[in-house]
Amino acid sequence: MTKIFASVALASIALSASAVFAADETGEQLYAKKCAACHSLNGQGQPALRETAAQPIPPLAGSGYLQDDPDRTATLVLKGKAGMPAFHLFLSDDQISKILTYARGAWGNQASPISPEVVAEARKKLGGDGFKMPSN
Amino acid sequence: MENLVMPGLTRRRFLEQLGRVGGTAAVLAAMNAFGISTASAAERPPELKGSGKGKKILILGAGHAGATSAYELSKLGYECTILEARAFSGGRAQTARKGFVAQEMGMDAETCDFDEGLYINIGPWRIPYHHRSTLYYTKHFNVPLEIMVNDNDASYVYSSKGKGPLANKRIRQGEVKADARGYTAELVAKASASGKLEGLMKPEDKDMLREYLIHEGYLSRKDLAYHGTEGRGFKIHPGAGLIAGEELEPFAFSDVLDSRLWQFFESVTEFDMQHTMFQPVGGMDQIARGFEPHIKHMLHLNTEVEQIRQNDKGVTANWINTKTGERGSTTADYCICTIPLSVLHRVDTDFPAEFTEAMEAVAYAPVGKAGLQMKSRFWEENHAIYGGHVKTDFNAGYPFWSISFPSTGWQSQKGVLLGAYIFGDKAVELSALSQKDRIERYLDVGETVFPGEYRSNYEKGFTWFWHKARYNQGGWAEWSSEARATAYPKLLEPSGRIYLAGEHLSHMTGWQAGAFESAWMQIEKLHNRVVKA
Repeated sequence: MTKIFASVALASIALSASAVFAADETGEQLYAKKCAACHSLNGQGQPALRETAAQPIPPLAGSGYLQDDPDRTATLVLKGKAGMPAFHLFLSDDQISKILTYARGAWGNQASPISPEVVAEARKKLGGDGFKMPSN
Repeated sequence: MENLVMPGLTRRRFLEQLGRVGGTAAVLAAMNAFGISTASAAERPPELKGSGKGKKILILGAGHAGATSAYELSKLGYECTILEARAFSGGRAQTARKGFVAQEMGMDAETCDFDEGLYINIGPWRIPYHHRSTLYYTKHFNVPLEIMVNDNDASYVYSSKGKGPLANKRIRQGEVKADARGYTAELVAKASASGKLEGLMKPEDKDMLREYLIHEGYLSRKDLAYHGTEGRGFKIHPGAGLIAGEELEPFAFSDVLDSRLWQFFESVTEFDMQHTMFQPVGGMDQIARGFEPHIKHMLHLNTEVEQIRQNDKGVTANWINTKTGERGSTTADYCICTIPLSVLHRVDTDFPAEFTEAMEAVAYAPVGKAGLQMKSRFWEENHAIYGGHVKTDFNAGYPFWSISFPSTGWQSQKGVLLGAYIFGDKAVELSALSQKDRIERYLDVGETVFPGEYRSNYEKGFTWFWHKARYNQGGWAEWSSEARATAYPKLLEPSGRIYLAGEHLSHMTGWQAGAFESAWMQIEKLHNRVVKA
């Protein structure tokens, strides 16, 4: 529980600091840092244990969801979904834009870029007080 | 804003939430309850009357929620079967010690190689005194507890992003607390004495405010100034004979402010973090060992559920034994499913679309820990730090990097410390590295605080990330307030004959108490349905 040691002021400082560093990083570099641990560098996700089982983490290469509606995709990164973490506290609009633009054009994917403005719009719609990190 | 900061469940937030769900009456009832005790919502298993004889219950998952359901329901005569995908029970409440094998997705299996008797709790590691449900089972199963030192004024804080002479060096926590509060008390006391607070408070409170500030900040009665206090510690400790001791001098107020070291403290810690904090002697997995003899005969390990189907007669799980490759199916009248939603939503089920969508509305927290075995307990021997945490502002994702010392094995030769407890995007980032590279990063952080001691004492380590565990995919459920209001309530009710349970269906996500109390809630619902039918 980090939450333990947390303060709101700090969280916002951390976010703006990472946004500053991000200016230098490409979408590919950001993807490698923030996504590849689970989705893998080649966008293949994590393999199933056997042929009949579902992949625990689905591939992004060829993903219809990723390449479809930009607003829905940006919202997914911000809010998370089941096993997927919510990144709204950790990634800036610019970072998410770069990551999604990269992933929508990598590994044979051919979808249009997603602008920081689209991410900003999706973020506005999040509403509420966001996510609380429990400590344990 | 306070909510953004995460903590599990402040009392205020709890009351706010209750107000939304249960109305004012529920809030008042809860406030009254808080007035007379600080217990968790449920202190003991529901007292269930009637028999479950002749009814079969299928329980998916042998973590705390599954084990609790099996243990309590079988007492009523239900015939329970537990299917557990892993080779052990206890879910996330695991302890890494010699021989413990764990494998993250996309990584080689790692075998823990700590010396005999040393361990790290890679899942939950704290039991707050008010988590009565957890304490119910530790008492019930005779799991001995010891104090987990969750706060230690002798331990250090370290600010790398602050400025001035106190930044970039380790400082004892008590020194910062005393100075920040002492100088603040001085300012307020002087402001009040010179009439600057007039209009801001009742005139008749002025004298008592002065008394309070003198008391709180160790102010001099003479000039209302803060000159330090012996609680900060000593340059020369008092001793025998003529050694009267010499107190440390206070820091300058502006240096304390500039350093940002104050960011590690607040007036009172979050409710879940307060003393008395416990841990089981020998590791958190001792709770699972407590359940084990009672549920062993119902428990099928290495049994992964591939498909769940139900109709108006019962529930069937089709499974595969991941060791032998054998497939089979188990049918029961009802099912309690404790599989994390992060995993369950990818299992082949016939839940209504609305139910599956509700499962997908929750995010899961990326979380990682690491135990580092040190060949000497240098923090005890050289620094007089016995348990507690070093708090730094190095980015651990959300928000600080801490190093935590073991609350067991005092004064023995070696120790395993918690070298990293990492969250959010930082957890994702570090989890992409090999075990070896992760440990290098963790040692860098420790070496900054303990130069010349940390790396040279390091012997071996064990790193773990819950979001990369195939059967967890995250440390705990993270509900947004929106999803709490819309999706969460749908999952509290059974879908047909299937009841969900686990920390994810509580307001204590990430805590063992959430799993226990969620199971209690669901078995009560299930049993009432059975006896009414």
